[in-house]
Amino acid sequence: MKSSSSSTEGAQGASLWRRWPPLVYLASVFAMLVVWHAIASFFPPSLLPGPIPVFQRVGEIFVSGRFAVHMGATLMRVGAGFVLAFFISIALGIFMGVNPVADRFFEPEIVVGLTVPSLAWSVIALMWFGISELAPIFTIFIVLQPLITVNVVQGTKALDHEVIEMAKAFRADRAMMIRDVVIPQLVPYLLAATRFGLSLAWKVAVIAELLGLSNGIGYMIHYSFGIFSMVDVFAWTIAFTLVMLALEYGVLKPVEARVTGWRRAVAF
Amino acid sequence: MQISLRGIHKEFPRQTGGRLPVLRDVSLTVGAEEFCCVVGASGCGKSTILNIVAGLTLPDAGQVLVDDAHLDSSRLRIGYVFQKPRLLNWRSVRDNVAFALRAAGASAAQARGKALHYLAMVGLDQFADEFPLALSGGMQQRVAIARALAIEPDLLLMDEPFSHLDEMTARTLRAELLRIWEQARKPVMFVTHNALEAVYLGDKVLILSGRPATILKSVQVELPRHREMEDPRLVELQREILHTLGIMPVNAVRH
Repeated sequence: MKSSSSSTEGAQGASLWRRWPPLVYLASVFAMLVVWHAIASFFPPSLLPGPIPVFQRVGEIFVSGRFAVHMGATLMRVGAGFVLAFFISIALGIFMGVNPVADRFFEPEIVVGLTVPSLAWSVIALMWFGISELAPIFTIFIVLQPLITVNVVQGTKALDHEVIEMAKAFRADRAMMIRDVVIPQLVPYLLAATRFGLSLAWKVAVIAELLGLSNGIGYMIHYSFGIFSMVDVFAWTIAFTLVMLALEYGVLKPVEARVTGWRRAVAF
Repeated sequence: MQISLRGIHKEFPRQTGGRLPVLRDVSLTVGAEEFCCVVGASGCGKSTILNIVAGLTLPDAGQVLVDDAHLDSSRLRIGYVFQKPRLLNWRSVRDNVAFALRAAGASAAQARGKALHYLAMVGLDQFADEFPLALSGGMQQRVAIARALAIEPDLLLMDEPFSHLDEMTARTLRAELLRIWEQARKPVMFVTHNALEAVYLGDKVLILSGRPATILKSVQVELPRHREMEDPRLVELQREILHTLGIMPVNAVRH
């Protein structure tokens, strides 16, 4: 730092980018908006609306309260499907990780689950459960379960047996073994599964809503398509994306930094 | 408290089928205040002996006796120092020591207080709140030693605890270990492939044969404490041990 600040103008400019990392992100977002605005000026708004009318509409749907209603519906489906898949996958994944017979037995189920397209599951679920909350929740569960399970199996197989043996030598009971030894080692895998699972859950939820439900973000995008309002399609998509980003940067990243902080420790 | 092994046999299944005999009729006794070293070639089954004493591995035949009564392994309080530190890298240094204390039945508050005391004993109390990965290998191994001592064990098991460290660090830690041991005077089983280390530390050195391991010889180290590694009498004992192991040249094995 010292040496760069005492050197040339160019180096000083470069160090500003390094000193304040959010600046780079802001510049990136701003560049995207500028490019969007520039391209949109060549097209009619019905085909490609510019960022200004779209963000005006985003503001409108936020203020009107409609966004909260539909986002809430989508959020509920994602939450229910995800939580169900998460806990069942943890149990199944640990079981498969420690038991080779179970590992082989459930492997085809996982492979099939990973292969069937989520769109197919959405259609099947709608035909089974009709227009109900059960359909999207089931779809999200069935799509996420194999994915999260695979992560947990990997995490379980990667457990450090030497540390587990140490805990046994010191007579740690089952509760301590799980809380202090096993779970902390699974956390990175669970976080990866959470991030990946949630991002997939949103997409699945939106597809299910688009296909056959009467509320939720997916429904509103479909509805906007029905009235052929490109501004609304963009506005709902962007509003939804903003919530996702807030979740990623406001919740997931800080949690990750907290629980995996020990890895960043550097030897001196 | 005295620990005895009587006629221990142990085989392990091989990956390729068949069985690999590791221990054959191993009998030994560690006296109440005795520092007992076990020397043998790498992979000869030294660690298996410690694991059997700790109750982590069951012998195929033979018994582990505590004061000549059958071992109730869940009752015996064992401090185990492994070849690698085997710390919980996701817990602070202090919580690593406290972990062993809580496993031994201490309350959380008690454990944290005592942990700090034992960290001070190995000179690491200023590092109590660091994560283990922020420490050097030698410091991590000190944490492992503090963890084993903190529970005030009935028996201390050490499995080549200094073999992964550079010789300078190893020397310091050996001297520190002896200093602490002389205060507590608990039975110690110290496994090593370093004959000089064994005669420097031990009251008694047991020499193991190659696989399947059996005890070839027991050497009593009569030299008074506060020994020097370079003491010619230690070097002579080392030569005797290496000879028993079938290693002739004087300076063939130093590590």
